[in-house]
Amino acid sequence: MKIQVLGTGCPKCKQLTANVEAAVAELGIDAQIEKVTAIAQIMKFGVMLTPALAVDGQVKSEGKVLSAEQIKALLG
Amino acid sequence: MLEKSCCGGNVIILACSGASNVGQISNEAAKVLTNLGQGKMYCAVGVGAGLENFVKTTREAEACVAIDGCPVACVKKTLENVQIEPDVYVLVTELGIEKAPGFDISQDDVAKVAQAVADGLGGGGCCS
Repeated sequence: MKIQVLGTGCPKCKQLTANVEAAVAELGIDAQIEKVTAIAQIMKFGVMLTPALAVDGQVKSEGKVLSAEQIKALLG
Repeated sequence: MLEKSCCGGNVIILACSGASNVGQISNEAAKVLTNLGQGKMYCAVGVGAGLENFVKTTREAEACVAIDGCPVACVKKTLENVQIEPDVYVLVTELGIEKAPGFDISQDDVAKVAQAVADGLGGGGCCS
């Protein structure tokens, strides 16, 4: 599983990344977590608001800092 | 429903939004940057008109970004008229994008301009 956090690197993007890492650790799943900060790459996802979260290339949320619990539900 | 953007801060983004491809690239880049939370697009024309509230808001912003499409530099001159110097200035044609008649623009060019602004703001994002 590949999880991508889309955002230019502001604190909310960093918080979302931390929440993703926590969710992955709690679930004990094998997942690759990647931060996507280049605007050209973010635009290719069609994302209009950041931070955003994509799982295996599919955008799952935009403009929200999902909690670890919300991310676990999304991944589960 | 989407709630809010990444941050936004008090960064004002003024684009020339001129009647050419590069003017429209500046406009699109300002919109992208606003959506990505790098700042807030603002009405350059309002500043150009000397409208008090527009000038005041721009002057009091934490950072002012100006994006001009071509070397005519309308936004830069607009700001000079009200004694404001942009903190970040991007000239689209300086990024290797040629001015041409018409409004055909590519998203790659929009991204290139938006990235130049983001880098100018510090690379790490609007409020890092």
